[in-house]
Amino acid sequence: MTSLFKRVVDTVPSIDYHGQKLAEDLFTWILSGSAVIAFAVGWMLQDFMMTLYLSAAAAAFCVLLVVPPWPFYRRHPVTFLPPLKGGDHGAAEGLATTTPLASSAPSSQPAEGAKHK
Amino acid sequence: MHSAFQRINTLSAFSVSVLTALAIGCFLTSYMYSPNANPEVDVRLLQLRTIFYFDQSVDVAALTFDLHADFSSVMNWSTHVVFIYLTAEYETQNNRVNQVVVWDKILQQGDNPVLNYKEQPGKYGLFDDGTGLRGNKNVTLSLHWNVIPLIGSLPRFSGGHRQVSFPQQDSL
Repeated sequence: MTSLFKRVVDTVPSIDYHGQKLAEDLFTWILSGSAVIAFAVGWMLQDFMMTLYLSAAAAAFCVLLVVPPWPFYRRHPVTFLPPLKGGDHGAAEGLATTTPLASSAPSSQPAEGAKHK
Repeated sequence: MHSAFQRINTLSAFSVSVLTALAIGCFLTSYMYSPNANPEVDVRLLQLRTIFYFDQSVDVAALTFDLHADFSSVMNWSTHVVFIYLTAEYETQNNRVNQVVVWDKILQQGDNPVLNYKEQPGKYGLFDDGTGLRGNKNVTLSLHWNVIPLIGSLPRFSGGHRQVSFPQQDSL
C-alpha cells in the first residue's frame, strides 16, 4: 500500500532548491499582501466576511501557483557526480555537487541521487 | 527537496497564521467603535392582577411600551448579532433585586438598526413571585443589549431607564 502510494507520488517531478525558495517567497508575499488588501476592503465595506472571502481566494490562487511543480521551479536542476566504482566503499563521503543554494542540504545520499540522473 | 505535499502543508500552515492575524486585527478594531444606541423608553401599564399560582397569590402585570433606539453605531463589521431585551427591575420585601425580562429582540447584520415601536405589548408577562408589584413605587424599566461579535469581546450595555410606579388596586 505504502509502496503504491510512493510510486504514485514519485511520478510527480520534484522542484529544485531555487524553485523551493521561489515558491515559499511567492506564497509568503502573495498571502501577506492579499491579507492587507482584504483587511482594507473589508474595513471600507464594513463586512468582515468579505475579508475572509478575499483571503480564501488568495489562498486558493497560491495553491494553484505553488503546489504543482511548474517548469519555472525546475530551472536549476541539481547535478550529481557519476557514482564511484567499487560498491559501497566511499559512498558515505560527500560526493554530490549541487548549486550553491543547496550547500547546506544533506548530501549523504549519492546512491539515491544517482537514480534521478 | 520539497514534494507537493510538503508545499501544501507549508501553505496551509501559513494561511492559518494569516487568518489569525486578520482575526486579531478585527478584534482590535472593535474597540474603535462606541456602541451607544441612546434608547428612549416609555412604558404604560395595561393590567395588574393578582392570580393564584398553585397555592400562592402572585402579581402579574402586562405592559405596553414605546421605544426609540438607533443601533447603527453598534452594528459594525465584526458584529454578528445584537440581543436586545427590556427588563423590569424592582425591590420587594423578599428579594432585594428582582429582574424580569418582558420583551426581547435579536438584531442581525443587515436588519434595520433603527427600532421604533409605539404601543408595543411586552412578549412575556411580568410575574412577581409574590405580591410585590402591587403598590410598588419604584419599578425601573431598562433596555439592555448584548453585542455578540464575529471575533472579540462580548460587551453588555444598558440604557433608557424609566421609572414607573404600580397602583395598589387592580387595573384593567
